[in-house]
Amino acid sequence: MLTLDRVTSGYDAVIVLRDLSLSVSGGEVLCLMGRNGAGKTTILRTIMGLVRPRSGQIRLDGRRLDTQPAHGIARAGIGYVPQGRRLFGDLSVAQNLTIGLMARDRPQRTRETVLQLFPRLRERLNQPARTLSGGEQQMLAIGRALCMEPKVLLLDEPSEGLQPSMIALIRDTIDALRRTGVATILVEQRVDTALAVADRIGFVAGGRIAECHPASDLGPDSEAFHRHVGV
Amino acid sequence: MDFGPFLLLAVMEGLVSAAVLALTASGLSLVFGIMRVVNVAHGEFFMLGAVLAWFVSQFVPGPAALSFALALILCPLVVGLLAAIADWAVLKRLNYEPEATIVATIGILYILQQAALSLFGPDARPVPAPVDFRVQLPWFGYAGYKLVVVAAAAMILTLLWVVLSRSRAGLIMRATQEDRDMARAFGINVDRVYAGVFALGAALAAMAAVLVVPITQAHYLMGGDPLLLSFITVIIGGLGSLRGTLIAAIVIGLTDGIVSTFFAPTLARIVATLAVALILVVRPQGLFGRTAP
Repeated sequence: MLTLDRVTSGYDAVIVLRDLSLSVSGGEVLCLMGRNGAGKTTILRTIMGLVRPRSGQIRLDGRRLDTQPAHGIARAGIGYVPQGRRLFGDLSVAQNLTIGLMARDRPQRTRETVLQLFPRLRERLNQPARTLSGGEQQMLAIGRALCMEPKVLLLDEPSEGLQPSMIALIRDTIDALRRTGVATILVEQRVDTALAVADRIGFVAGGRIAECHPASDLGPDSEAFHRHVGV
Repeated sequence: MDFGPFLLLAVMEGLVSAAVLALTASGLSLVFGIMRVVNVAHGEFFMLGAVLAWFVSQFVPGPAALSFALALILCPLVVGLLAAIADWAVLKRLNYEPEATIVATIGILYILQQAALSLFGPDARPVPAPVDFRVQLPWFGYAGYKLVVVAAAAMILTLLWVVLSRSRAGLIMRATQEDRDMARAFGINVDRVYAGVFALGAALAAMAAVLVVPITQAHYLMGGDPLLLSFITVIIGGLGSLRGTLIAAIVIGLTDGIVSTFFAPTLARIVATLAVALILVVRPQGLFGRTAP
């Protein structure tokens, strides 16, 4: 289980997250929604150690993460798919996957599992990542993170700018991960995707989780979406 | 001597300059490309390599080839270790901020230079070449050791290319070069990569110095020229582009050799500096560099 306990963090003089607490268990999908600038991306970057928390604690299965460097957090079992994918564009598809596999004990088996999940990548293994289509790049970004065999996967707006068939593939992937016991924190702007894949939906406002509801209690017209997402 | 043989001599001299420059500048290019650090102390790592080679030649008994071979292994290791310590003690603490590291490496430059003056003295000192033979061409004889320098530099650069393009360490360096934060997010210890790259860059400069010191002699102020020429090479080739650096080193080295032989070394420097000015106006990212996204 990943827990954030009263975490405060931000950039230079700007505080973005204020005493934020949340938790997500194995096999659970927590979707974070909120307006632009609410702090959703900062939550993920703080968990990854790319933004250092100023106070509070972050724990994975009881082990402190907030005291570790970013590379130690990744190796502890947190996989990250950032907004805009941020692939290593000059490296090939195979090399991007290799970067993800470096920390693992059984890289060949993990690589095969990822390529079975995204067969399109197998056809593009020697192609530079920057030459892939948007959908293929997102497959690679998710595949690269899965190569880390994460206990918790952080997905920052994975459906942004993708066609419906790709969005459906991403939903299926999240469902498949849920069945394998991977916890997922998904930052998402699309209400339909959030309702389709999330177990719980947390609404971020003012640097905190303002409300959190089981997805089954919400519908497309729920007041919470109007209040926090503006739809 | 006729024009043809004179030109051949100039090209051969240029190849020696190009080989040494390619080694030195590739170290500077690696450090800038991966760490985004403009290492003003790079020339002093070159100087340290030459000075240490002199110490090895003085204190290791036996034939010159033995002490030279030892210097070629030992000096880059010692200089690389010093660079890694400088990275840990100074650059890492400045969080590799570009402006701060320029000032810091200027400080490192003076510390190394004055330390060399104190321990080595102000005089230029010769280091014996490991081999002494002449290649007799129909028009002139040529020092065989200079051809050894070209061959050795080509071998080291080929090895560097293989490491960067084929090895796991090279893959890690290239990933870190592209996106430092993402490298961290995928379990790469970026601090260790930076220390290794800074050490490798300095070691390449030291290797170049050990190779060339039997031709030029060791002196505590000898770091200035290699630094200037390396910057010129890296700017013309494209900041952070190793391929561009190698091609620019060959062009500049050959130009340096030809202009120095036919006219004067000072004119060769003027030509190189004018070429940088022209490149900065016409193609600021260099011949093989990329514009910022």
